[in-house]
Amino acid sequence: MQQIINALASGAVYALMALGYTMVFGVLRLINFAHCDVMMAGALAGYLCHGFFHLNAVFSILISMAFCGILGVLIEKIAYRPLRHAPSVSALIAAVGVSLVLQYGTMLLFGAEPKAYPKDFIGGVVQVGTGVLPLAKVTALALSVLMMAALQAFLKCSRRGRAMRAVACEPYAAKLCGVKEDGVISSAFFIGSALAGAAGVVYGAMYSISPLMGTAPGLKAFAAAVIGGIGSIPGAVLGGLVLGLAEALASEYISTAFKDCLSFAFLILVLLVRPGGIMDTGAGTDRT
Amino acid sequence: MRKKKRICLLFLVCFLCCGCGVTPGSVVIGLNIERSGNLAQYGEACYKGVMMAVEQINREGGLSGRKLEVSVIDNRSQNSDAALAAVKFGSMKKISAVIGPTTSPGVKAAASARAKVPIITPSATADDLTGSDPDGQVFRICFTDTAQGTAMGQYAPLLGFKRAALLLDSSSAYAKGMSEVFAGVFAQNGGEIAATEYYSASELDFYMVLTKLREYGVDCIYLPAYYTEGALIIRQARELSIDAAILSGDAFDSPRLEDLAGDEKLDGIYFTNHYDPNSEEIQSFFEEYYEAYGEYPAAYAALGYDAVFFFAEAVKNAGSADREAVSKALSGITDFTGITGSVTINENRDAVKKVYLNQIQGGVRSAVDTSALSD
Amino acid sequence: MIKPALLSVPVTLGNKRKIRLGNTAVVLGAAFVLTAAFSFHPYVSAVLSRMYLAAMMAAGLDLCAGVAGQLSLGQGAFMALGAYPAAMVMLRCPTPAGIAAGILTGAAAGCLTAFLLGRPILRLTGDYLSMATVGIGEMTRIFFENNAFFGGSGGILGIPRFTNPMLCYVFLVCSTLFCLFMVKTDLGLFCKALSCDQKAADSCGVPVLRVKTAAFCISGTICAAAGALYAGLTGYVSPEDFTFLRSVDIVAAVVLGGPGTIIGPVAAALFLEAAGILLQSFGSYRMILYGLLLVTAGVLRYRKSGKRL
Repeated sequence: MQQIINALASGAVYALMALGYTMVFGVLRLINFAHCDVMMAGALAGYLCHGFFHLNAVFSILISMAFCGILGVLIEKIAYRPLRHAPSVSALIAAVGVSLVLQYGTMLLFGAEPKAYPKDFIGGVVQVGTGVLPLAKVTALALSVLMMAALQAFLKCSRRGRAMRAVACEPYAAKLCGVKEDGVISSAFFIGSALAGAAGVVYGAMYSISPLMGTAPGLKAFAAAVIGGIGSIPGAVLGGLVLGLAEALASEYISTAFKDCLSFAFLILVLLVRPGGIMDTGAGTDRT
Repeated sequence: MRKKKRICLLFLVCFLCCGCGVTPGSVVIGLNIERSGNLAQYGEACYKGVMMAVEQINREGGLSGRKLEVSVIDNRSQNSDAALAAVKFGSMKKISAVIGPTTSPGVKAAASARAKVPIITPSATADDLTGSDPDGQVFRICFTDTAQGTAMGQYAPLLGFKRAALLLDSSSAYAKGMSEVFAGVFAQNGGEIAATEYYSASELDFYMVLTKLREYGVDCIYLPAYYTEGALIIRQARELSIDAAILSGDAFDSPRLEDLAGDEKLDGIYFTNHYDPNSEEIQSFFEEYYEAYGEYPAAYAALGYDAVFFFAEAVKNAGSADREAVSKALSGITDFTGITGSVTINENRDAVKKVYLNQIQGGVRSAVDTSALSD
Repeated sequence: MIKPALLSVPVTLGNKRKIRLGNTAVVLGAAFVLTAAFSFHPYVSAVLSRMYLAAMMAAGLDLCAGVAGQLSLGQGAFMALGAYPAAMVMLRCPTPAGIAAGILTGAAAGCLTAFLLGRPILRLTGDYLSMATVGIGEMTRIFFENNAFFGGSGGILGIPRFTNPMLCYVFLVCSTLFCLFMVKTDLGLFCKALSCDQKAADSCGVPVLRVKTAAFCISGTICAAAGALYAGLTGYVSPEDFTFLRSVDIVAAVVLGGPGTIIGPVAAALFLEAAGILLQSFGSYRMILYGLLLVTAGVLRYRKSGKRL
């Protein structure tokens, strides 16, 4: 029972970040390697909000989301926009470059020591049947479901959202219909990065914050996005939960040592068998 | 293309001229340290300890009147860079000895480079470090993993623990080495190892593995981990209502442990360490460090500090800062007293020194009086 | 496998080939001078060796990624697959024959794995392929980390240190010339075709999967050989030497040097490796600078050339 709860909670964190990956991939066909470092920046922002400005959890998350959103838009403007029509490899390399700058810039400014949110931030545990769940994980779960619902609504109902779906489908046709590509992409980055920020704060509350904390969950979240179907919002959440469950099962019945290995093996399996992921949207095939 | 090649050539010429800029007549040690990358916090702590020691030595007149200087190379927590740094130091004639890297893989890489310069590692505890060094140039002032594991294996039953579980990082030679030794000695002294579970290196969520461990109902968990993940494991274990005591090794020692574990009043934590936290020398070191850097030191800083004085002792004994003389003197050191206890170098160039058992009960750190335990 | 045959299609190679060799000669010639001049200095020769190994891998990857358009982000895995078997062999027979056998074993291991893995993976295209290679890279590293037979995370110590700049230089020259030669053959033409448009190439009769596998294998073998040489460089290998960051370094060299030209990535790799080592004392600043370099150089390169992969 506890293991299932563990699985869902891990999955929720992966899901939050996977949402960001999926959004950016959807509009830009770019695997944003810097995404996980935006998440780290969000965790730090939340930490500073709470530590220096003494804001409570809700405000910290909101401000951190806003900060990350702006950071994401800036990154897009500086690093990705000039390379929008370049072969995707160049943008990939630029993403890695941004990731390095963020990681080591943070290390320079804040030191390499891990920091932790004080216990009163989102502390405490909740009893769920025979299992126990830290409140931070409950927040993660709630946030990911909330965000998913909000995003779906946004994409289906709002004007900007529909524009985003159009660009994700076929950018040239969208431009012909009068959609301003730049604005849409900036919005996608803003939302994706804001989600990463929220994920970061929650992640930091559950564990700790350090400059290189983003890489491990980043890779997992990326795997989750692919497994669920890159380009699909519910896919990202589903992928996160599936990955969480797979890890829990693996650690319970096979071995705790090879848990990570199995995640990647699962990723490759999915890629081979059904590259589109669970909710195949056909988004990953090359646009020629 | 031509331009790039020219720039490249220029760079090469430039760095060949590096290594200049030391005062004539001074004694120079190299510092091969992790100042960036994933081991940066340990390297930085060591760096600060070393710098403090160097300043103190120079304030008190230097090494027989000669100024002590440090040449620092950041090895980015990468083995290949650590090896390269060792080679660079080897080729810089002024360098008498090298301090660092702080972790065993880095030291192994540096030693493999066979740079013909004595390497003093303050904190690398792997057993095969000094034995496998073909040139006989690696020295260490900390105890080995075997010593730690054995000590804990002996103390644990004396503290009343009968059933233990092992929890280790599957990719860490440090963890594996220590747990094997611990398991053997613990079993010899009447204990029982109920389970062995693993986690992976950058893991932050231990709920799954801790849930599995909870089923075994052990009274202590041997967790030879760094304090960064150790703190998280403690926190999550307590959240899961696991009351077992946590036993660990020297990498647990850090003032940040309570902070990261989210609990000021930690209970039931024991770890083997290099010093008694309440001893006078350590307390005054802590105060000085706090004045200099605004934070309290971890064991790595204390060991780095001692490493410099250790080197100074060798220079004093040898009467010169020449590499061969220093190397010889280092192997002959007996009863060097630093803040981390008294060190004697044995024929393996390992340090024979006391293994302290520290504990945290009710938020208070102290050393367990191990002589009072054996009954 | 494809039999390399000289180009029979009427394309004016005359001047173009001359220019390319010209650049190649400059780069390789300068490297030769450096090698000859600085072999005696232990530090510089270690740096040169590392530079040449990085350049070798960049050449191999360029054939796969630049010419054939199959971006592999898992070159670190091939390095490991070359280094570990080679190390095991060399440890047991530290004679020159043993060392040669070690390098061959490493290269063979790399080739075999590339072939076995390539067949299923290379069916994927574009970003999916890159994702899969990232996964392979990580899995390989974790495999070596958790495997006591290969030394686990403690690594393998005591490998004979036979690598010197001249040896690496010879390997570099061989790899570069080999890759340049391959580009000029039918295989090279097929690679370029399928990197332009895979479906069109397929409909023209290009055996797509076989061509991709061939390019992937060549790149994997060269990387593995570099890995074997790397093992002999410091005498110590451990899983941390073969992380994703290592793969990124090589890919960066390919992108910055000009994908498809072979010699461009070689020069870029030499430059990047040297710059990285030079800035070693600057700690975090170096990584930040490296990151900025990746971003700006990528942007500038694209602006200047507008080249398609």
